[in-house]
Amino acid sequence: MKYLNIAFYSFKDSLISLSDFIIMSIRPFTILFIQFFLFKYVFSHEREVGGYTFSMIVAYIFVVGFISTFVDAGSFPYKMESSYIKGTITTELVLPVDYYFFEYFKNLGQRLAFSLQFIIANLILYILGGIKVKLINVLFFIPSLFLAFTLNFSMYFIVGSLVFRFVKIAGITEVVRFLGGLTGGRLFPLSFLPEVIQGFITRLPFAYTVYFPANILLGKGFTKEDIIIFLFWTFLMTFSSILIFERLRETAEGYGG
Amino acid sequence: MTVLMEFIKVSKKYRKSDTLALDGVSFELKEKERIAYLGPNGSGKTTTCKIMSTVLYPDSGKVLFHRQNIFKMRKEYLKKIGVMFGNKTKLMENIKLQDAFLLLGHIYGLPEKDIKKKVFYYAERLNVGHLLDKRLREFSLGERTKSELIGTLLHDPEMLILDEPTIGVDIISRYEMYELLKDINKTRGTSILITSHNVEDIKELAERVILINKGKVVFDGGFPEFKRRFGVEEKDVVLRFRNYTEFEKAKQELSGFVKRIEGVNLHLAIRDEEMPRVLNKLVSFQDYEILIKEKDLSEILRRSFSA
Repeated sequence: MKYLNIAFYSFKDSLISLSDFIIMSIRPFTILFIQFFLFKYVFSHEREVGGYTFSMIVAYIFVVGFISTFVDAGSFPYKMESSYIKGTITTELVLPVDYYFFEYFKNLGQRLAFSLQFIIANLILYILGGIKVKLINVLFFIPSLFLAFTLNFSMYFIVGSLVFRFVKIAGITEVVRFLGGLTGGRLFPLSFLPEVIQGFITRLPFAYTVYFPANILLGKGFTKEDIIIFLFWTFLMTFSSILIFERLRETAEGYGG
Repeated sequence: MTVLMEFIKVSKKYRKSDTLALDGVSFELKEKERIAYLGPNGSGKTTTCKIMSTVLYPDSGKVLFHRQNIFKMRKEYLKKIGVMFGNKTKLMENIKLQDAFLLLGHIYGLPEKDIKKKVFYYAERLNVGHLLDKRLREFSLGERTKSELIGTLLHDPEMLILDEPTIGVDIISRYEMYELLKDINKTRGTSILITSHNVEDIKELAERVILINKGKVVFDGGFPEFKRRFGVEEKDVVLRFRNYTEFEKAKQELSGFVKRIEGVNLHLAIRDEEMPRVLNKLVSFQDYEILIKEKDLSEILRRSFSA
């Protein structure tokens, strides 16, 4: 219950910080805007690419816009780095909570707030754009979205935990963000890639943070193997992140002042 | 009195800077006790507080609370203590203060009714009741500090660890905090360990003083003995004369207290018990300004340790 309260007040906290809210809300739409015109040009020459028609790709970029905003945890390592250097992390470490879950639910509340406009945009698209989404897909999509959130958060939590060892972690954070952007299906569906590369990338964890939940919602289908890999990465990353955090925390020296 | 916390031969080395922050430090904190944990900058005070609050792990030694290792019962232990680091907050800054307290109370598993009751009581005591509908980010430093103290007290901790809690706080707010802390210590038996560079904090709150330097305990005793040994009971008094004859007269009559002379300014060092006698003499002089300063604890400690 206390963790749900953390998510609730974090949601409220994010909505009240109006400037942050507006900036964080606008940013994903600018990418979406570019994607739209890029794909419009591509599909003016081809009717179908990688199993997608133009209307399907529009639905894809809107859904991916929502998912990537919702699961985003890329700023978490920076927050860890800053609070470790300034010493403000100490005020959170003295609370009687599991730090992983404390940050998980804080991030969940925040991401919910920042994704609100995407939910609205997707609903508008659904009503006006004639995009058909089956109820069964939505029912599978919701748990996959939360699993994707857990997986992505856990990966960045591991990166954030490295602050106890290296203090400065901006470099490694950017590498992970870059890999996530490239192999997560945020810019285009991974089915656009040659099969060999596709086969490799879809076994990496990033593909399950955005591309896989989007495919579920858009009815692209999934196999038993996909589910097993998805669950494997999510559990592995979650347990690893908790263990790595606790292990590295014991060796910490600083916390600024 | 029962022993609440035991710090047994605790050492901590910062490898990156090759600094031995704590070198086999041992002490006990009993129930209802109020301890000032003092030392010059970099002496190991904050490291001690961080180890006591499980933020840092010691390299060797044990820290026990009710005879149990605090690192093996971390969450349970943290529910029983209250920790406050000066100028840092555990309250969310963008939501209303009362919501921030509600969240904190929920984290400690308190019922909403209890949280509200306690918040109202403490807010009245610390004069921040009018701020409950405002957001922390809009507060002054004093208001933030008082709010943080309320957050630290919400769950009725058995022990308080206060690391420079009054840093940057004005005198009125400080006295409101002292009164509340003394009251809680008296009525609930809450033990207090405080670090500070402010003499007033120590005078008001400490019964016992532990002095640490270069990671080792160099003094552990009652506050009266500490005052005698380190001259805390002295005040610096500056008399600025506008009349040379009066200056000469004062110089002779107060010769036993004169520490330094700058032009027609007399710098005196006066012990607390001698203050009434000196004040009586001051009445007989004319044409001067008086400035009374509390001794700076950091300065006292720096001089003591460098001597």
